[in-house]
Amino acid sequence: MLEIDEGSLKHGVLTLVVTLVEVIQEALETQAVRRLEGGDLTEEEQERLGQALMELDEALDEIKAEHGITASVADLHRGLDDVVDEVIDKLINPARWADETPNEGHTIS
Amino acid sequence: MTDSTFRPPDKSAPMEPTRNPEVSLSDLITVLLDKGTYLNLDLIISVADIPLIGVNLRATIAGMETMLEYGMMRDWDEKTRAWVRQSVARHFPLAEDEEIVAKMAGGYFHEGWTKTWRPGSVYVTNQRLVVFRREPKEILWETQLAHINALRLTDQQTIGSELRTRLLIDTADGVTTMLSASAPGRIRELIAQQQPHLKTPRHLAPAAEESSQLSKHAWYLEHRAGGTLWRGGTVTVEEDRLTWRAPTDARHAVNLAWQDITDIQLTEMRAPSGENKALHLTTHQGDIYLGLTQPEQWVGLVSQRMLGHGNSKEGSDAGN
Amino acid sequence: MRNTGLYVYAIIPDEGLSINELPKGINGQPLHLVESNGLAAIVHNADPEPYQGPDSEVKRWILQHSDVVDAAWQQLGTILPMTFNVIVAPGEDAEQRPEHRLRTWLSESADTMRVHLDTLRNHVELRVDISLDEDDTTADDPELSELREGIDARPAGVQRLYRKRLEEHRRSVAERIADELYPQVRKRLVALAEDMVENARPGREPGSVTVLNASLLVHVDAVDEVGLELAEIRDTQPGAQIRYLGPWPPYSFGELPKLTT
Repeated sequence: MLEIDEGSLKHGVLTLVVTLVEVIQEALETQAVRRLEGGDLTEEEQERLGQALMELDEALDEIKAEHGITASVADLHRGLDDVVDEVIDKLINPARWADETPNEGHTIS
Repeated sequence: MTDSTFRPPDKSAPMEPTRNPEVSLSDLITVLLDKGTYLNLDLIISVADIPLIGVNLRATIAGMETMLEYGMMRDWDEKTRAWVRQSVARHFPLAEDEEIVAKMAGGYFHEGWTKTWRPGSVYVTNQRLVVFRREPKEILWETQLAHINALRLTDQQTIGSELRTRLLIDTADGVTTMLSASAPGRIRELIAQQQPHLKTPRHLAPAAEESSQLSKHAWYLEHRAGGTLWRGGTVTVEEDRLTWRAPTDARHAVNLAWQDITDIQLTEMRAPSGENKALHLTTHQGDIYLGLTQPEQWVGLVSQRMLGHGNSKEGSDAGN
Repeated sequence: MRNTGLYVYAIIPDEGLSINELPKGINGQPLHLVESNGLAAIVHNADPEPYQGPDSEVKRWILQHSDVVDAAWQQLGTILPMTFNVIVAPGEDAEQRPEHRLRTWLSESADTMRVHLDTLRNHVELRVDISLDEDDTTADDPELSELREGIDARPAGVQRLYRKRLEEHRRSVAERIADELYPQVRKRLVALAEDMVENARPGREPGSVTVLNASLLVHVDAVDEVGLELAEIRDTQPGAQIRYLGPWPPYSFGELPKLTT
């Protein structure tokens, strides 16, 4: 039977959700900057967009501090970045990965 | 903004490496878990019926991959071959009496209702030529060597505007199939050795080339403490520069703006590309040697780019 | 459970090692040698199961493993270190005791291993991690100064966007500088090394870009020269951050390159 401690489950799920929100926020920011550079945002739109992102910053910081998950979110976020880097590297540098021997695990016959 | 750059007082003193575990612990753990792999656990334990083929195999595993790619397996002793057979056969289905001759990364150009490359590994055995994908397991394409009527190499422009040499294979069923492989020339050679009657012209004329970026496999001569070493990688001609990079390197080991190159010529030198001549670039960062196929064509190409960027190439016969 | 396997730390030449001066093995296990054909393996009797457990324990075991390898290497000047968790299990045949298997293997591969041990003698592994602090490296970039100008005067929301934009530009400028630096750095370091292995996919540190993260196989006499090159890089390249670790036993250099002269 699988035993899950309720506290650690909450902690894990909350960390995951907050991290994903951060990732989405990054994607939004990048888009916002593209628009900014494209010159198709008025000063007023820029301000509204920036304000919204700032409010999101504050909300996220508050949630993280409130639940004591600042460190675990940072860990997970970095872990996700590494995974993404790896996937991108696989696309750009297939040769490096082509003959990677699979990890057979530490089993003993 | 204040200048917070740390300026060390002992400018000329060499840096000392640290063994302080507080600094190096995570690196040490990475190394001991991922590297130092003279032995791999599964080799020594799971492969129970091959007792302790270990260090000498694992230690040279990288070298073996290269040797396998170049089809040098026949030079190995029976035990090593048995191990390779077994380790490969764990995921690649071999027939009775079938032996792997070479294996390399590659793919098969699938022309169904859509035209797509299907990537996998290209295997040359003593019986077949196979494009195989390990995950999920599938034979993407295969032919008996006996069914091959002709085998040609051709240069093709990829979507990424790179120039790649492909294999064109005419089979007995009247179909021509295109394969990619990391060393297509080597496949042609290995099959020609086994099927001496085959028509295998060395190379077709490359397709007309007008793109701003092209690249191909090239060997770069690196100077090390013990001597020199040819390293395999990719040379790329870009709009404003020439680069070379090995797949395991983080960045380009050669990264030259056209203005940085003062001269290019051919020099007598035998690189693993098989040609007797290599490119010799004189640059602001020292002499650089690159070994690749069709070196003459590349001298022309590079000279042209240099001229285009206001470099006078000494001894160039450009008559314009 | 009975001790039926052998945990292997390293292969060494079978002469000149005082095993009493080595530290104890993993979890205080007593070490002994399995010898054959002029070579020896440093081992302890172990269950034929890998060490597994929480991270903190794995860390402790790895350090104990590395302490043994390190001490033997210091004594002998050459070693073929094993990675963590190499265990020789008994064969399926009851006759095949792990000692026997290990001995057979040692004697069969003796020639190759001796060549390896000779080549690695007096060589150390150094790990070099050179990165650029984005701020310091790009401090003089005119394009960035232009972007920076007047940001503070803008309304807060707009500032937020412009700062993000500045950050992206700063990173790409730092990447470009790293690209330019890499060929020279690699060339200078590899010229002092017998071999070099780049460590793939180093995790990224926020605020800095990696130029080169590699392990070098270097003769003991050349260690100072590597240090000089690194000091030179540190002193001439604004924003350069260098981690320089070692000397270690040659963990990363299983295969030696074929050199031509």
